[in-house]
Amino acid sequence: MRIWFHIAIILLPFAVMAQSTELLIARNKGEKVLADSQVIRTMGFARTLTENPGVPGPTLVFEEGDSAVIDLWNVSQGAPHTIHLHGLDVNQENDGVPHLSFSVHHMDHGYYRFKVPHPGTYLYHCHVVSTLHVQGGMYGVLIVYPKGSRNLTWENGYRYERDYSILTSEIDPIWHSDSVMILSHDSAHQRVKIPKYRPTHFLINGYSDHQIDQELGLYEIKKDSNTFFRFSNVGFTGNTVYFPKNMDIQIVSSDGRPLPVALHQDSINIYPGERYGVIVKSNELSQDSIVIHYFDLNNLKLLNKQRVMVQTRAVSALETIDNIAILVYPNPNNGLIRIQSTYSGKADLLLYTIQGIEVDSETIHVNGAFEWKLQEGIPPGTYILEFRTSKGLIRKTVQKY
Amino acid sequence: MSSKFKAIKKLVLILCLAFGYESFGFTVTDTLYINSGKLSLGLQDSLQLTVFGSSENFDGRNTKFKLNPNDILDLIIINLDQHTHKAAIQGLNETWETLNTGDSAHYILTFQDEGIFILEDLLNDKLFSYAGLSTTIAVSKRFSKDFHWNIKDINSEWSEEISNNATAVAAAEYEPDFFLLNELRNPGIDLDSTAKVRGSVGDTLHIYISNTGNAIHSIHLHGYHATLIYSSGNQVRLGWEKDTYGLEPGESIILEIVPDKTGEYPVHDHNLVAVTGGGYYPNGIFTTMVITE
Ligand SMILES: [Cu+2]
Ligand SMILES: [Cu+2]
Repeated sequence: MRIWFHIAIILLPFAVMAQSTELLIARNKGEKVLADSQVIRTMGFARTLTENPGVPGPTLVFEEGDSAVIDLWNVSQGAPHTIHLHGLDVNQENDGVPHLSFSVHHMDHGYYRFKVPHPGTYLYHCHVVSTLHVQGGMYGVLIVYPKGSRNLTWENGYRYERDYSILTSEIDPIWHSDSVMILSHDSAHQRVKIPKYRPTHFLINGYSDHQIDQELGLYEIKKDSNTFFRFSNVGFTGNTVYFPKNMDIQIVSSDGRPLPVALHQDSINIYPGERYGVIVKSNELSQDSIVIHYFDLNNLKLLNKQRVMVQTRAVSALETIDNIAILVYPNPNNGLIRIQSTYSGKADLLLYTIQGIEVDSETIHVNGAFEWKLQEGIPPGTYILEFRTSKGLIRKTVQKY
Repeated sequence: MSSKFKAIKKLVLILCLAFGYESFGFTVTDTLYINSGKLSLGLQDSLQLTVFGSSENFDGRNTKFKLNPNDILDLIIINLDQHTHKAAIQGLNETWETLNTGDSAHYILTFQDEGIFILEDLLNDKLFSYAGLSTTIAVSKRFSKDFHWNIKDINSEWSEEISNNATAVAAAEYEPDFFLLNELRNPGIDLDSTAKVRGSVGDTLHIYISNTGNAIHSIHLHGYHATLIYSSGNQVRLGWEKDTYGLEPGESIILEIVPDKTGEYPVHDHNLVAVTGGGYYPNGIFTTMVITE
């Protein structure tokens, strides 16, 4: 009786997670400071009315199988907007193409409802006069995690220590002038004049040049562990991504699907709209960089290079948890594990084999001691129990008999 | 034109009624006319192009072919253009002739293997590819519903200058202003039944895509992921299931889609500049797939 009560408490947050709602507010008068201090006008998505709509917009996170709702609220005094869920293969009604589904006008709400598909990396963007609205800044990354895990590429896929998203795009400041931005206000059914595209700023997650180190900092890789990089290109140029030398690189997925066979390459081309998932592993301590070339799709001319710093460390920052201790007992156990912790708040519990294959997981709200009843049918053996919190993670070896 | 050609032309005319598309048993006979003229794209846009046309009269369209493996293509190519051309299919063991104005060449071509082949003008570093002169020959034993896209990008000034004067270009400065699917674009492409994808839930649909332009194109599908079942380029992507496929110049692919739901879903170039035409949105590479019950 007591155990069932605990299980019910444990399962409660799970039931809540299955329905996931996001609010995105579409704005027409954002501001963006470029690396040369030039300030441009942008369009974009924000989560609150007081927030400047960022370029890119917020990263949306869902779990496989969730019923998701995106509430798009247009507060722009201008153009209609939509959300196209790029790669999610939603039905026509929710596809976000104005003349085939619906568009959301000033001070209206539109609701996009969909069942969250395969784990992977996707994009979302406005599809109204898409050439202008995407350049304007109305785009972002959408990540789908497998059910119950933030450390697996997909069910039975690659286990990783942590993941990073790297989104590339460009800015042509002329397209952000009032005289061009006003063109985007026309209805989607009319022809809209588009200027020549002359990008001058080449972005990684919205930043370029010195801004990258300032705003994005170092990308940490834990020595001898997998780190998962998600690359997406939402710009209008081609990218070649060059990975750090002396690291083990596996290209494992693209466009939200595993590749049949992982590729070992030291670079990859990513064309507009494509995404790639890359497992990076390093067996030596080093500081290096991921370099991205931006080239003109018409004539292959190299337009620009940007890079992010990558540092391999012996211990992931995630593991340097202060002031948290956990006690796992009895050990060995019969599948009912008692855990005492000084941490309180939301935590993910994961159990996986020595080979890294996940066998059980649970999300709980910790407040003092609790019990975790493992699923039936987990064979006896040695497992790793991972206790993952917003402050970091702790691992314990457990024996099941 | 000799009387021999007139007789063949009559036969060809009959064949061309079927859009130069059907394969008649084991031998497909056709005549292509290299000619140049102004193609009207509607919306007050027009382009000077040079094409492998289906008749002496310029209609702005390159004739495409669909054959079965081991079919024979009995092909006559007549150069009605003012410039010299050397039409050829690279990768095929054949002696290709240089054709001056008024010249013709007769080829008996056998395609053993499955694939998509590109017929193009090899002279001057494929200069006339910038003026539209290239078409596709798809060889496939697949019986699924198929659709054929010949993707091009055109710089209207270059294309006019090349068609008129065969002036050499600085390829490193190339910037197209028109983006075409079968010498059409959105919305005119909707009327091309060889291109417009129509099918039912559960159908196996094959889209044959060739990039005969000079720019890289990144084709994005709404609604469904597609499996790459053929590529003339990098074989490593075979079997991949993606929603966006990059095509380099000269590359051809076959995508397989099995729709799991009804609806009308766009397919478009995700270099969103290529969704424009003559500087206007959305008159570029944009069409839709229409899937019914
Ligand atoms: Cu918009
Ligand atoms: Cu998109």
